[in-house]
Amino acid sequence: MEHCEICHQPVAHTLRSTARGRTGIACSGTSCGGRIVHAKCANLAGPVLEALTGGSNLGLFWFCERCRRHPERRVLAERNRHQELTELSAIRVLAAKMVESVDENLNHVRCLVRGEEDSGGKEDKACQWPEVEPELPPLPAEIWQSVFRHLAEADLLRVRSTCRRWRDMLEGCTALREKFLPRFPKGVLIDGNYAPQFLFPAASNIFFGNARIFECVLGALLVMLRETPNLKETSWNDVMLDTVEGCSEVDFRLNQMEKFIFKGDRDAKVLSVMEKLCPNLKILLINSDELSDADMGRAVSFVTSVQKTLETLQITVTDSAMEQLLKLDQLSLKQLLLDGDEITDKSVAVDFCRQIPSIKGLHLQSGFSLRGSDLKELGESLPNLECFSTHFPHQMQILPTFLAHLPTSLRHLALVGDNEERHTIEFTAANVGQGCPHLTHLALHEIILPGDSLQQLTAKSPQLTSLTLETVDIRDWPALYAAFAELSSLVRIHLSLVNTQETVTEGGNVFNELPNVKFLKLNYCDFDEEELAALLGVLPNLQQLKLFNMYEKVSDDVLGMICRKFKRLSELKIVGCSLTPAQERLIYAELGGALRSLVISENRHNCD
Amino acid sequence: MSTIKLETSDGVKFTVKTQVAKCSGTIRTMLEDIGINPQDGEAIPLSNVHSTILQKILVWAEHHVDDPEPPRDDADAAKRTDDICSWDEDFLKVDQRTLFDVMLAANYLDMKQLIAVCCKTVANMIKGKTADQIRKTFNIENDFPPGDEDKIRLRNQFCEERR
Repeated sequence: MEHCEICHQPVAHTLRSTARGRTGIACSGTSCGGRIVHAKCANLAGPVLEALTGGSNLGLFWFCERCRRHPERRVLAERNRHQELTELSAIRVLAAKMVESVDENLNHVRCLVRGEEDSGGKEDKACQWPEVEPELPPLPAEIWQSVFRHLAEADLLRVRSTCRRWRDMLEGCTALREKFLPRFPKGVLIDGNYAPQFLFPAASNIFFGNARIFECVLGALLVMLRETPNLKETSWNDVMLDTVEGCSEVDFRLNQMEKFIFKGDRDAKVLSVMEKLCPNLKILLINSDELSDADMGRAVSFVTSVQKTLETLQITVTDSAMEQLLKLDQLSLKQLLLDGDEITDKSVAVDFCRQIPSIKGLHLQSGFSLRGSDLKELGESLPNLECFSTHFPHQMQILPTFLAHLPTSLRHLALVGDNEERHTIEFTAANVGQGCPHLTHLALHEIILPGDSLQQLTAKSPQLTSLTLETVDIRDWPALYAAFAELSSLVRIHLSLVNTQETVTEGGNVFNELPNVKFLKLNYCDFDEEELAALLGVLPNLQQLKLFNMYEKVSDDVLGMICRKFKRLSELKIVGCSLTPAQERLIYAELGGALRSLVISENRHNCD
Repeated sequence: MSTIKLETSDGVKFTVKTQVAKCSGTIRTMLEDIGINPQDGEAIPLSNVHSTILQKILVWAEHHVDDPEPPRDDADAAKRTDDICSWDEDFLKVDQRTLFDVMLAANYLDMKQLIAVCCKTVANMIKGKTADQIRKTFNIENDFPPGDEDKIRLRNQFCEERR
């Protein structure tokens, strides 16, 4: 039996309100070794006591006399900044509660003054003095929702408990609902002792993993998921599950679950659980290279059971799994991400896709690189394809003739070469054919483009708004500018690790203004400062500029240009460009107040 | 300088600089896409806006007419509410009815910047308040069945901001 340090009477361990004053409160300080006192003896009552004893730790601490004087008492609270923030919000909650109780009392007094009976409730409107003019014009839900978008979660929670209309507006808006996440302490074990009964039922998203949850016991997991019927999205990131035995008898379903993301190589048992729970899944991403045969079977079984609703699938397959998937006849996927290093005959992808003409987005990863003839066939069997990315097979010459066989619906195209031995691809007017006339986004990675290849390719896609070149060799910069010249609709340019094979001869830097370009990102490209200035010079309406690892090429002239030329610039990021302190000062002085976002750093980890 | 006429719901006619009127997406569309000719001298009818509110909105538009185009609103950007400029702050120091009327009119006139600054102002009126105080501020009736509110409050404690 523990005793109060002040009155030396025993401490009660009950939370009944009559015994509240005798409830024990432990000191959170470190210098006294956790002394326990009666709440009453420490003068604790009301909402403060409730917060300290309610079982729902709001982040509030109580310190005894001794610890309060001792400088170390702050140690606990200063452990990290986050803790302080939690405390602050707890204090705000408390303050609000106190104001509420004052309000109630005031109401009571008013009623007494008027000689009316205090019905003590919200239904008694007569005794509320009018504080607001009645009949405000009702705002439509979309205006309220854009008001709510400015609120953090703590405020949204209170908005939610204001009235039914506000609650419905809040929960009816996906962007707002996504702000609610169930709270887990770090490194929790979801075992038999885990009591999740207070999870927010409107929560739409739970992360398992991410250093928060390591292991799950099936029983506890199910109890928890039962509490969150609004769950729409779940990520499972390298978490162990003890067993799946008995999950077939689950008597509830997560009918709203649309998206399940699996990551991890150890254990995919959870797929069987989710198969039982999620009858309406739309998005299944299985991000794992090494599923065991049993787990692969689970994955295929999951896909089979949701094939009618599934819209997006990411999976790394084996030959036997592919055989099973080929038997599915109700799949109507819109997006497919396919990988499979172990597949013996890659052309099986063509057979699989041919059965699913609904595919709009197809991404063939490096393990599923197809030959040119397969690509042609693939293009012809997917009439709705809008977004396509493919890797070229290792050490195999690819002719771009397949481009003309891709459907005209194509908007996004990404071609990825081999990162060990880059593919040289020569696009010519003849082999590109009609090309991709409606393309808006083009990305080329790990490719060598000799001569005027790029221009030949982009000339066929006059509607391009976004061009990305990454680890690409071009003949020289004029070859790139010549391609730009015909792309007046270009909005976004991203050049990363773009190198030239020949030095510029002369007069090659003259090209047209690109008035629509708003976003430019350059990372480690081998042009000199004059060429950089020439490029920036034709982009008068730039809004966002990111320069990464351009070293000494960001000269004073270039900076002067950045500071003055771009009237619409709102975001600037210069990372790893070896700016001198004077140059940094210049930027802050000229642009510091004007931009929405300004980052200058030598730390290359900031490159995104 | 070219001007156009606007007629409010209560029949008041305003003569406005075209450039100022074009702060309204609705009017801009009328002029540019539908091809209403402002030189005709005929007033554009704004049947959902009262003259007192239009007057106020025109003051705002006049002040902000040279503002650069706002950056495209991306959903991920943190929504700040402490960046209201002091002129706007003073401008919106009005009673709630007027504020709401301005919002409705700005919505009708498709003035994104004005709506945004109004939304921030209203959000600031909500911030840090309890549900009860919010109800009082906006004259909202608590229509939850008894008991439901407690449940919600209890659940609310078990949420945390997105990491």
